[in-house]
Amino acid sequence: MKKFALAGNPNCGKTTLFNILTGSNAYVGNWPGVTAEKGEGVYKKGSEEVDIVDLPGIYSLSPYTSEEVVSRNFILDEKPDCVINIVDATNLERNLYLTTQLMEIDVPIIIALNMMDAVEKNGDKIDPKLLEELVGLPVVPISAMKGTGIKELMDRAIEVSKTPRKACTVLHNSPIAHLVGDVAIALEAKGVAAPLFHAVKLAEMDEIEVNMHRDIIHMVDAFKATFADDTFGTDIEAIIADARYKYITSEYVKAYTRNPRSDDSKSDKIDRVLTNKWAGIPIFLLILFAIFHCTFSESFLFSASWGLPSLEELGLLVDGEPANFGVALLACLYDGAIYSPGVIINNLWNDVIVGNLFGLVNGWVEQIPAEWAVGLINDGILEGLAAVLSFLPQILVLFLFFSILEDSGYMARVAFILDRIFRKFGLSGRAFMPMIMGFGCSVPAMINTRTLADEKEKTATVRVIPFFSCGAKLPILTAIAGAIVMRFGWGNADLITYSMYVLGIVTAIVSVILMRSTTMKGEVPPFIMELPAYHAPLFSSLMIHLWDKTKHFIKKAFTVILASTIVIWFISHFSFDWRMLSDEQINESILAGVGKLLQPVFTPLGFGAQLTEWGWVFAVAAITGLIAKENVVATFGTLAACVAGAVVAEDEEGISYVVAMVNATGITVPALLAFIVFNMTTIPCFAAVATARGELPTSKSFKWTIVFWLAASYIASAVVYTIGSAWWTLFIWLAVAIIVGVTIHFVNRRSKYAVV
Amino acid sequence: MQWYEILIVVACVLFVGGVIAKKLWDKAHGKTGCDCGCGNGKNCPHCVKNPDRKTQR
Repeated sequence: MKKFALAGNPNCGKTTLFNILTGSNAYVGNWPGVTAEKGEGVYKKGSEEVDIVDLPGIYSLSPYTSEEVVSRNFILDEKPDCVINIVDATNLERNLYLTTQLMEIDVPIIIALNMMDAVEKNGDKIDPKLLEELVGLPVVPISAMKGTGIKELMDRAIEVSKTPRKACTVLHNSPIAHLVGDVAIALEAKGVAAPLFHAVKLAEMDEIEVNMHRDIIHMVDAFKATFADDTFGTDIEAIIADARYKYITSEYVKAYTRNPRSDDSKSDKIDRVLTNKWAGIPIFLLILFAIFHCTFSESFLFSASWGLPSLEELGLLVDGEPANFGVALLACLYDGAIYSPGVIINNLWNDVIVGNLFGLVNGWVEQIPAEWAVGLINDGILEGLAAVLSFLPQILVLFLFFSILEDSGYMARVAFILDRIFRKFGLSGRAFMPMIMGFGCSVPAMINTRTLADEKEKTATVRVIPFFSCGAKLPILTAIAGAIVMRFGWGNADLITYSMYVLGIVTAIVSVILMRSTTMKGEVPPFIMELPAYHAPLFSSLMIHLWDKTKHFIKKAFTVILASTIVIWFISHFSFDWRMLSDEQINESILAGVGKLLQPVFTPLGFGAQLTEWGWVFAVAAITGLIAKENVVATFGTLAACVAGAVVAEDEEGISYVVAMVNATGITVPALLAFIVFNMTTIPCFAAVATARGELPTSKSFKWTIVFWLAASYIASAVVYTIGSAWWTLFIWLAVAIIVGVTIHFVNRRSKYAVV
Repeated sequence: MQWYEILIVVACVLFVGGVIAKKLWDKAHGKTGCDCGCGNGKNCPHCVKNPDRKTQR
């Protein structure tokens, strides 16, 4: 089977093309550095199959970053039958810089001129035929987003792959042309493959090449001893880079005609507002709040304060229930206030689909004569699943908003805006990208930290990624925030959820400051990132994202969560002497025993010994959350029917389980908030822990990371609980923070003088 | 115990055992099972550990 490699600059559309060619749905984002490792798929053309390899985005073939090493090694060692060089037509000059390096390798190459639609939209023109003549490589204009030109590209790529290609260079008129030529001849004589490429890299004193060809390096040293450029002296790497750009701007750009009337692009105009020095961060916080308001608010556009009548006041309810199906539907959208789109979809899902479906199954199960089996299936399994599934629509709505922000190119701007602040805390704006991915899932986010060159910055970032609440933690947030509003009439659900997200970010920032000023001191690497052009997100791409999220969520619900609810039900209905217990006796169960053992640990956080005899439920939920965070709410669902005094309302499935637990345990609002914070910041799920182990440099740093997660979550929840319970403790915590800060400052100053 | 009660217990044990076995199998094969939207495909660089990772680092 033939093997083609997709190579190009970051964010030029490689993964979008890869997905089209292979039918895959690898993660695509509108910022540079989304793909940190190569991915593989198969392209089928009739009976012919081609292996397609999606390489990480690179600016050069010099081994400065791990992505460059991955791509370079693949092209040189795996010898693909063809390299499809994707060139972003809107940034022609910079993208062709990589092309000039690729053409120095003896491998068939074809240029896919991507984003041609954007070029035309700007009023600019690129003549692909002329470019093909000038570069000497086949050029096919495409639009990976719209899927145009793909067939022609692959037809020509298959054709090109049939004939071997001899390497060539644009450095033939540069001052180091002779050096490159002589070294290439020497390497060819040694039998080195791709001698021209290795010769250029050796002339650049590329670290890898110098180690590989120590016997030839004297040629470069001899040349440098007699040569000095007027501008760059003996810095041959700079001379080569300059020669490449000069050649591109003098020769290749002839194929490009810029629209004489174009001034600032639309992206530049938008950026003047969104990346403004003063307005940038407030706008970001406002956008974030708008997203949460649209997803969670039961008072959309603060309509509760408009004085609208409730359904009861309108006489549409009979005995507190909707009079007919039409009113039931209306109740999903409105009741004294207009609901936000997220709440409307959630209500429709829960009332119309989940409620009816689970009600139907409950009815069938009740036919089973064995009472315990009815309890297991209805109260254990189905209630647990319903608790988790009831949050699916809101997770998807929130994820949709984040996807739109990512795909439009705004998130890349946020990294740029936050760089200034992050730098003060010891991180660069680049670290923000994996953190943002953490809002979706910690696993890919931790893997994305490979784009961070500095080991200490990477470790610090991996440690704080779980503080950026992932989709799996959303049911905990929504259920508890909803319960606080429903049971205590306290605040707004959207405001509580938003505050918890912001609190997660604040905890991350404080943690980074502490790490970077104590155990992980070091210089912050410079942050240079190309800002992608804004574009409207592709509907199909958004739908693919959502479908994958749904698929994964449902799969998880019917495997890990379902298995967990079964285990939880069994160990909550058996005692240590293996006696089966009734619902009223679960306080004697194995689960209760374990929960009661752990309960005192959580006393300083508000959900420990101060609760009633059922308080162990919160300790157990926190522990089951380590398997998968959705388990926290599933545990409430499974145990709700058994806990004495817990009355579960018919509607608002997930939220009602928490309300039931609140009634049974006597837990307070500050303790509930502390419970959210603990679950948000403690050890993440098993999958994320396994990934952190793989990404962190040593097992010692991994062990310290576990300790860090436990300590951070414990301290953060204790702060929330104590301040929430007695506001004056705020001053105690402030005093502690000042003492810690001053101590660190003086210790650092002393060690600085000691070094001097 | 009636036959259907035994059946329910056996089904629960098999299901829980199967889920644990699948997780262990995936872990042994380097799949972390992420939420990245890839559907846990074998071609997903996020889900499948790269054997060359150590050398890349």
